[in-house]
Amino acid sequence: MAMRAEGLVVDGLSFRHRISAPSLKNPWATRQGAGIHGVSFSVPSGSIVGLVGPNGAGKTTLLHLLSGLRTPESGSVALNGKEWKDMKSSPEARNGIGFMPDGVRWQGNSTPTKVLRRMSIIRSVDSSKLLELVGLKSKADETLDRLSAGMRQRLSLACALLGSPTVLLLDEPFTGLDPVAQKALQELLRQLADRGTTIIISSHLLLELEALVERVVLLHQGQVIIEGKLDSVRKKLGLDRRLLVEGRKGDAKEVLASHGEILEYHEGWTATLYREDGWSLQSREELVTELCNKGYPPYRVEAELADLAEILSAATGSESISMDLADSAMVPLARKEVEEE
Amino acid sequence: MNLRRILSLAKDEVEQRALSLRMLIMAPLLTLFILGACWGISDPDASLPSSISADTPFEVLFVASLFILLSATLGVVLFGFDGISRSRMSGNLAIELAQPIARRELAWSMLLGTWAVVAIPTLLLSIAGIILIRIQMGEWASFADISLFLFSTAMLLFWYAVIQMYASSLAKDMGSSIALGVAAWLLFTMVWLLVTVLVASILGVESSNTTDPLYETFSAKVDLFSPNGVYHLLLETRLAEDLSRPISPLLVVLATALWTLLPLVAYLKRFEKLQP
Repeated sequence: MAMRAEGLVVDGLSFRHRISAPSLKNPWATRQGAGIHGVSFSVPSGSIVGLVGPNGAGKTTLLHLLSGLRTPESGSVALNGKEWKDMKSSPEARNGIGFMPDGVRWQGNSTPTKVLRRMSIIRSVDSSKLLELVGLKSKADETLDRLSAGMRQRLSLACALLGSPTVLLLDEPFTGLDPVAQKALQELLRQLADRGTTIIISSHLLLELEALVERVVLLHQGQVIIEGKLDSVRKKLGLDRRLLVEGRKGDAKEVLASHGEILEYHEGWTATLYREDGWSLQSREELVTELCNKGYPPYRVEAELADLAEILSAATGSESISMDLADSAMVPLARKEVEEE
Repeated sequence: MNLRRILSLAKDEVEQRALSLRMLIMAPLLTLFILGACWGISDPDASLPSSISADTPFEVLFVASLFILLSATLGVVLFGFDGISRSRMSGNLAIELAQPIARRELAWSMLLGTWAVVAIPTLLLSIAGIILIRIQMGEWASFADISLFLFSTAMLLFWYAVIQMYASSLAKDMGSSIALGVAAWLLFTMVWLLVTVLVASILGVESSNTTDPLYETFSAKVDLFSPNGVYHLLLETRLAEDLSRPISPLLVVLATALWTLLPLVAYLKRFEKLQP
């Protein structure tokens, strides 16, 4: 297989938000808040990348830096081989980028047609086919106030697709879309990726994301914890060492325990086994042979793939999946290196 | 800077707002205030307070400018108070800022759009008002008078548009957006006289008699710090000496330039730093 060119290379991006901290001496004083620190990763052209992390991990901040909405304190971004220090002050760099922010509340008496007309003036491109592409043709002249949340989401997507960008940054694109529209969006994104568009999606809808992405960038406390192809990420996190074994007869617990650590066992029986050195073809054969010999023939033996939620949980070190927000998730790990003001 | 793109975007803003509810509120107000003032003040049978002189077409325009100060500047507030804050709060601004366009261009287009949406009807109504004065008084204002009047009015609205857009860029919610917009309008339109009297009292200038030449000179100087004041001082340069306040025209020109440049530079710089 031919190597794909690097579509997007992010090198050491750092940024801290300024938080208002008024005092009697200085009512306009600010201090450093949460942000991202030394974020680096690369994405080949035509890849779909999932940007995942807990709330406050820095996903939206990273997308803002990549789309030129904010100026990084340090680091650079290379787009199709050309390096940019600050996307914000480089309109020509943003030519190749389409950005769809999270939860745009389109409102007023304007219409999707008028919105796209304005955007097409800004980009100096034609927008005539975009409403059809995102399924909004029938609502082209409806006022924005009358659009549903999903329709507004489609309009934001249309704006991001304007000018056929080579890098598409999507912040929570599935929110508000009905299941059919979600599938359609996934299909559209796959087609765009096939045509060479690099797509970065930040989403909390991990199931939808998992069906789409081939690579992930895991952000936690403003830093990249792990990145790469899904399989290699599972491998790095030791989440490829689990084997799902199912059978009907007897209680195979003892036999199973002699081959690996039992993570889960249900009567009937279904078991999830773990081996530190992973499950080679030979070790699987040995397990199946012994189970058959002892009278517990399995009808299903397969590697259990960790989903994105588990990957996220494993990567961030969370013991369990819960609503709790770690205090430390709001500031970069490297905060101690930065002088607080 | 791509001037063509700036003008196209400004035109787009004007088109989108031309039939808005705000325009439906503003249009009758502007019509009544501007046309009504020109027609009424130029009526030979109208009885004006003795201190107000409106014997020539330009003097009528000068008095009518008070009504423009009240209505057209309010129009700029109405269209500009959420010129940036609204799209910022809804998230549209993030989409526009992420487009491949220099922020300066976007800032100019928003400013010109806000200015033009009020300036175009105001200037058209002013021209209609000049025609009404001609009908009532039987003579035209001179070309120089008309040019200065239209130019000054356009500049006044531009200053207000810049102030409103700057204030809007500071606001992070609709409440503060309205508060900042209205406060700026109130300060220069309603409270400025109070500010002038207050400063005069502090500096020991007699302010109980507003026709006192010393107070007139002082108030003219204080007016250099208000867009409304500069607007009137600009118009006063075409009035007879006994009707205008004693101040050097050079100072008025300088104030005009500074009121145009300083808020504009501040607004453009603010827009460059604007966070979505």
